[in-house]
Amino acid sequence: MARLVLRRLLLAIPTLLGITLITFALLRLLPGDPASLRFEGEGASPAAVDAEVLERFRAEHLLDAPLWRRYLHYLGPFDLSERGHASFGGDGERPFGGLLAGDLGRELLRPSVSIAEELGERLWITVPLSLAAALLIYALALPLGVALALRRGTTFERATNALLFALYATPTFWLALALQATLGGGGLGWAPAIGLHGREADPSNGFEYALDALAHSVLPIASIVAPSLAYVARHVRSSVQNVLEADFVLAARARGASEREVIWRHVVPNALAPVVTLAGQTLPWLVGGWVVIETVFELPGMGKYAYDGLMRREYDVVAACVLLSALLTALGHLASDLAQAWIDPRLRLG
Amino acid sequence: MSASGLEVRGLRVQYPRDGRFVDAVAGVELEIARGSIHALAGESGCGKSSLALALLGLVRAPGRVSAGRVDCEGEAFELGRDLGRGNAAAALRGRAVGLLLQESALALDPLQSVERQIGDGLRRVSPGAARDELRARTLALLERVGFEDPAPLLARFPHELSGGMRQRVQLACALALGPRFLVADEPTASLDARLSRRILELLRDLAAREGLGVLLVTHDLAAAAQVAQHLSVMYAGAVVESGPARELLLAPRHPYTEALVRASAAREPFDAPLESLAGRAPRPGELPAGCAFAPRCAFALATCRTSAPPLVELELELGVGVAPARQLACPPRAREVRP
Repeated sequence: MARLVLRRLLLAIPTLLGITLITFALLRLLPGDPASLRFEGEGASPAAVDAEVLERFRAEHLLDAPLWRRYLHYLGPFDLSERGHASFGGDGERPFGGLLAGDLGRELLRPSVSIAEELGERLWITVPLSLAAALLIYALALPLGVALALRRGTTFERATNALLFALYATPTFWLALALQATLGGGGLGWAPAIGLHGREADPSNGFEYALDALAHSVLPIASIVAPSLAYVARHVRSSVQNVLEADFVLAARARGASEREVIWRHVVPNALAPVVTLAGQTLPWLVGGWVVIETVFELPGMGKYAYDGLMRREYDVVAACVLLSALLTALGHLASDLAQAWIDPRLRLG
Repeated sequence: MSASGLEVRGLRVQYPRDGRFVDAVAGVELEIARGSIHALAGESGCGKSSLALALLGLVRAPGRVSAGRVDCEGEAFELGRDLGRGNAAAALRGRAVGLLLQESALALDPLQSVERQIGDGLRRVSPGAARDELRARTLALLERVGFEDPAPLLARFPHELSGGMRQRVQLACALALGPRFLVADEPTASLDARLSRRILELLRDLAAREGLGVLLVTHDLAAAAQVAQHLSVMYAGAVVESGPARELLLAPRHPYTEALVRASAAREPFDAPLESLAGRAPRPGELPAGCAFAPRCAFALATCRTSAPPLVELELELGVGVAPARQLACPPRAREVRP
């Protein structure tokens, strides 16, 4: 098992490097020159900006250097600019930088804001929401999928299937807006529908403050859980149905196993393997969903950051969000591979 | 019949087809004596596998066991819906009658070790047994199915075993519940000749030494000839001929049995060309009126096409009442008129 973990980790390295190449290319391919974008915000065209300031900006960001040098600068951990590491021709004032040094750059319009720090703070909203959503999805989808598979051909199955299909086909943004309009403040007022905290929320009162955040999370979580729940439950159902047809299930029944034993001891563990693969993809997939939902509900999380970054042409912010999502995807796959190996001995020893 | 056998009465298995249920097994009667092997032969799709599973009140989806009764040494079980999931099912399945399926990658649970799969059965018949005792009994079971050094096997998973080993482990799982009878559904179908011989010999030894009564479902007459004392031939959901295995193979009475023997390697002389039977067996729900075999039969009479001949006790030339009895579903006149 330890060897498997090590091998999977080593295999993740080229994947991650590939991801950085893509985000780097993405940054360079997007229209607009970073220098002009930087100074446009101050209401002046690049031509009007002091040539020396512009020159310093270009040098600092290696805008005139060859692409390979710019990529290495972007990747880190050494800063390759004039003020960078002494071994690479810099003056050593700022030896380290780039992704490997945990440096995602700074916002263009608010140069005092470090993107890494900003993202770090926003993840405290998006990650707990995602974990809660993922837990909820699987806690509901597993029993629901098993029940659907066992009650094949009944009215319950047909009705639930129709409902799940409708949920699955519902666009996330539409569901979010619909929930906001009907259950939120403008409608029935059952749950707060804007922001993470109410206006009267008092950060010094920890427990009530957390409860307030929880109440504000109800509708966003519901909007992200519903379509995914439908997808996962249908997946579980088909997986369980496949396993129910296997000979070992027949053999277990022939050896006098009760229906409960057959389901929980044989069918569910065997049906879980493909579902675990899916679970690994849930987290990054949720992160994508948050872009829409955090925007609708005005939650200051990572999704909203990515959306705002895109609107303000803060390409470094967008690239950082893409990079983080890719990282989460890679981690999710790693985790699901390991979980699968833990469940299935056939994968453990290869 | 005697108290030391398994009797099957009026067994009917149905599958849905075009919106109605049609018979795959149409009222079969069968007897299996303890300590002997009863082979059940027939083409694919004749209903022999459905019959095998139905003996345990099981059927593959979406079929159903619609009627039938199993009398196991005086213990009676109503099959079909009444068997349900209650105590009767628990007493029948595994304990009275065990099941051995064709070897496949999924005949054993791929996620469970050998020890756990055999232990499940052992725990079911003796709940509360100590771990050490269970392990000792597991090892003994593995030795019974021909493993000389079973200890290293316990922690293995099915994918780490060869096909022949998996099949013996599956047999050990079935034997763990101490059944008096065993239904083996094509147990050698996916094994090579050497391994299938081994499994058949194992079954023969279990029958001879331990008094196990075996129903060996097979399409391989040669295999049946090797180990079975009794043979029943099935066609289109019904038994058409039944009797002592050697006798049936050497002197088949039913035209279908004869065709099967001629088409199989079990015939004599061995260098005669293999013959195949023209036509196709009727599918369930499409049976012709009268004898189901009549359209393919060279000896069919006009009456064969209107009324189905019943399975009747045959008066043997050797004398009446020689056990095991020989039964045939073919009218004498049809057999006499030979070209």
